[in-house]
Amino acid sequence: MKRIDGRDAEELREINIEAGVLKRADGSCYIEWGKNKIYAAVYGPKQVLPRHLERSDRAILRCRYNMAPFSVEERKRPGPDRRAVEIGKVMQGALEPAILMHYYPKSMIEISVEVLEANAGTRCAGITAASVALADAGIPMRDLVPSCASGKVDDQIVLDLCKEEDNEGQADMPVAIIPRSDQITLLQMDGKLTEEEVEKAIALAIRGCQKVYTLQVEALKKKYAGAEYE
Amino acid sequence: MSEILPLIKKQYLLELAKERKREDERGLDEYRPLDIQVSSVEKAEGSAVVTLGGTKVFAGIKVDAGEPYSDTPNEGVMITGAELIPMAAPDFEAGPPGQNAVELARVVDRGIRESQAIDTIKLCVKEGELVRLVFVDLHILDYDGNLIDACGIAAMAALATTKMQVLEEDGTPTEEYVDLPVRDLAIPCTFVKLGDVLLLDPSLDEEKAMDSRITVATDKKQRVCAMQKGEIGGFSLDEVMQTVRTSKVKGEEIRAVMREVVQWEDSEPDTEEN
Amino acid sequence: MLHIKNKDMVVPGTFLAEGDYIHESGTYKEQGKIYANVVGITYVDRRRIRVVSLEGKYIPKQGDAVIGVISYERFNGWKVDINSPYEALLSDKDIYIGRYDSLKVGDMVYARIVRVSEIFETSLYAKRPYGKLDNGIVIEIHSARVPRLIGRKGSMIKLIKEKTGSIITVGQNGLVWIRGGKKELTAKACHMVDREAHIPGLTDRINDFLSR
Repeated sequence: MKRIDGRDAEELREINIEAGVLKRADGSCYIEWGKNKIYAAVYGPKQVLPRHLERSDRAILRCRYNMAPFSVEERKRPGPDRRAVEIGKVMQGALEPAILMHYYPKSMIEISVEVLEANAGTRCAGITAASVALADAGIPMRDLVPSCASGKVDDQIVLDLCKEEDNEGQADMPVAIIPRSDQITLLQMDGKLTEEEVEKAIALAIRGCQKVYTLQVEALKKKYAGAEYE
Repeated sequence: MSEILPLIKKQYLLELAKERKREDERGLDEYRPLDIQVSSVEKAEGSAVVTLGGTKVFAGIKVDAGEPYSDTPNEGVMITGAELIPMAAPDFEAGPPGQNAVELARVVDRGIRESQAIDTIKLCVKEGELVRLVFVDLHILDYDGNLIDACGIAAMAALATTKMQVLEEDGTPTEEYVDLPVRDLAIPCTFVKLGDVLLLDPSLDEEKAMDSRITVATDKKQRVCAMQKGEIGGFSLDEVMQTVRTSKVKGEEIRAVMREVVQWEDSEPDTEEN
Repeated sequence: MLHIKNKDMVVPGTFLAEGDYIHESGTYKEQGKIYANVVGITYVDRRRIRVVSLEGKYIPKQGDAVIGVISYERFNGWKVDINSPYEALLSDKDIYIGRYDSLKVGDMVYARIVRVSEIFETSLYAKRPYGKLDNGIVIEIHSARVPRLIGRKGSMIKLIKEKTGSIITVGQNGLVWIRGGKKELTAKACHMVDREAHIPGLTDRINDFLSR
């Protein structure tokens, strides 16, 4: 059954990822995912301030997610609201397991995700972009972290809900994985799903993540097209 | 590298300035490469991305409706804000706007407001009760020097391409869209002083090395509509007048570029009274 | 069993090899399998595998010569920013300061890293031939590109020196001190190496650029 925007149940929206787009940031990424337009930037590893947050055995991670006032239909007041603060925290939970934190004791890695235009799935796009930005910054990681949401719309389990589907839909489930180990590092859900539907939705989201992963790899390799070393 | 400018670098920039040279080989009155893109974001009624050298800023316009200020019951309201978000530079911290962000927003606002670029009378829906509120939100993505000009250009380009829904007198939106009434293109020009030399469009290091800074905004008739001396240090009257003269010329050059990009037509070409 | 070739481009998580291989920098081992942990180029030398990163911050290493900026004065020395997540310390016993001269915040020094602890506490030595930078210009490149700027057996840096007449001191941390000769041209050549390190034919391009 076709969806509101004509996609098949397992079809992703159009995604474009570009690595290394900012001058000052140590690593950066710009992603267009459907109508979402999002920047991710990484600073670090760097000195921990305030000092008392320092850990002697590993780096610490700080994640910030923010939506620009003009990114949504009704202007949003500047600065992160409670939803944004929560997203910052789950983003950290999604990305940190992939980072080899013990390489950089007594240091800090700061991730910043800014949404310039929003159309559902911003946290998934944000995590996907942040992962690329981390790699762009040369921070050692076990793997990249692709992220994608699945959900239930019109009694069907579908992949990558757009805004209209999110508004009218019956469930929304953002997921992120570490592809190599198939470990799920982001999982949230709201709506109503039976046990079977949950399993189906997670499996579908994981398949979506794997597709997103190939796009992340492409974006990083594209930055160094023609690379060689003597 | 930390944000301290090494003394040896400052010395080098001062020496170059004395010989009327700059690190990136620009002229003293020359802008870095400028790129203006408009209508980049659908959700905003107007938007622009400006890249000036390595500086990249985003201006988003949202048009809402609300009560007018009591002293201007028949005029729309413009509100400008700027956010120096952490991704733009290693030393930008998250949190409410500090002095730099507030000054930036207010200087950009002043140029546009005082030039009367927006015909605020046309933003009145019902006198004393309902007017259009125009929110200008500046989002800094990459800070590499001269945020004021980059933001001023972005804000102006975004406003000049803003389309808003027409409202009935009681505030009900109609199906009709109309251009935001923009009748001028205010352009700020910012200079820094290194020793005795004035440099237009400072790079990041030139800003770090500067003694002080001055911004002059001009309108389409090359009248000065806003000025701001910034940071510590001072200017002589001659130096100020030099920046005014240069701003008139360079402002017009930027205005010409902007006209092209936003396809702006002067709706009041020969009005003396503005 | 090798899953990639020599000089392949990989990303974090790329499966490199399993079995009897020694994993070196830019890689990690899990359950007998070796993976890349950065974006970079693979180097396979018999049974040794490493991935050379094209990015990444400088991590202090004992014996490295570096260039830094004095960031803070302490009672018996200074803190030095060496363009790394870890700052270094310079004791006033480890640098010769003339009677009427002194090191202050903003000054730059050329120094050797003499000690790095397990948690990257770093100490510098800045007596002759090291010391305070008093003239010239300093530019910054990615520390990962420093080997490229120096070149095999110093060939690239030698080429630039010959063509420009500049004295060039390359810090392992990516800072480069240039004095004398055609300083600005030298700076441009160094930036070009930084930008194009990964594109083949760089030596010829630098040669052409400097011969114009």
